[in-house]
Amino acid sequence: MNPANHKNLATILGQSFNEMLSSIGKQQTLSISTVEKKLIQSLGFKSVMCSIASSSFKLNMLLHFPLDNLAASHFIALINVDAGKDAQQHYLDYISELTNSLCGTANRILGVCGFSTGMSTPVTLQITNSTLHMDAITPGSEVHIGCFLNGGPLIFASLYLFINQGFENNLLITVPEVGIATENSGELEFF
Amino acid sequence: MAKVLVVDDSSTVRNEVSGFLIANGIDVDTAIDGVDGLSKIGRDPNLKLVICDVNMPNMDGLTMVEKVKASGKSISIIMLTTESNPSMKQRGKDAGVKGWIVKPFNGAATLEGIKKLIM
Repeated sequence: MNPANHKNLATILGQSFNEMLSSIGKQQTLSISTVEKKLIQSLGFKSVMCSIASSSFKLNMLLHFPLDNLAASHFIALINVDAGKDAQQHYLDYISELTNSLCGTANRILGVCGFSTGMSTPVTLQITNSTLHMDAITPGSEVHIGCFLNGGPLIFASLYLFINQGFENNLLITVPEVGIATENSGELEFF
Repeated sequence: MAKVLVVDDSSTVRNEVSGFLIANGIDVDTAIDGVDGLSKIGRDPNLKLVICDVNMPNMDGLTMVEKVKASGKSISIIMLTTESNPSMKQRGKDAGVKGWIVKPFNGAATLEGIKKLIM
């Protein structure tokens, strides 16, 4: 596999994760860094997965989030999810939409670089330690990133690359030299 | 009274968009996917505009738009999606979509355009 792919995947994940967190609007209180997978595995977080597929590769993007612990209460407070009898459902739906945003940005980055791709809807995985399950299907490359609040773990993301048979030696995942333009996000483009 | 239909499988997005429109005096209904959206478009003569996601279970947004066009129904539709793929936009244009918004939704940046479409 081309060694540039790993570095470029990290760029895609970093840009997508930052863009996703910007929608929360409180980045100034958060710290973001690349992390080792074993940290994510140690937390027992749940995951939502979204996939991007092309003719030569597939990407699985996972957002790992806390469900029933102190980190969850911190995160729920941060995003102002409505309390009440449906609070957990609102929280899960919010996380799914964050995953959709995360994957959507990655998909747009790939589109800018000329890849023709399709994207799935987010799926909440019923298992914990989803990274172990990803290991079992042997990705070609993987990168992980995390967000911390006052040093405590808040939310994490993983990006896994699976290269289709026959493309192992010549696939190059490219990224734009500058970050993709996001200034038009949210604006109505008339046709 | 002119009404807007918000079609998205995410309740977070439905609540965000419909809450913004209602706060700005616009009547709103919601649908959870393309099947639900198509059903409501067929039944409600007050609908003037549909704001629709692309990637949804059961029936995606562009398929719904193509079915609306095939039915001969005249209604304005704009897409609200994480997608910005040119071929996908072209498919929307071919089906008569009036506009495209890349998520996240920015109410202030879209309100004027939305009001034009429901006048």
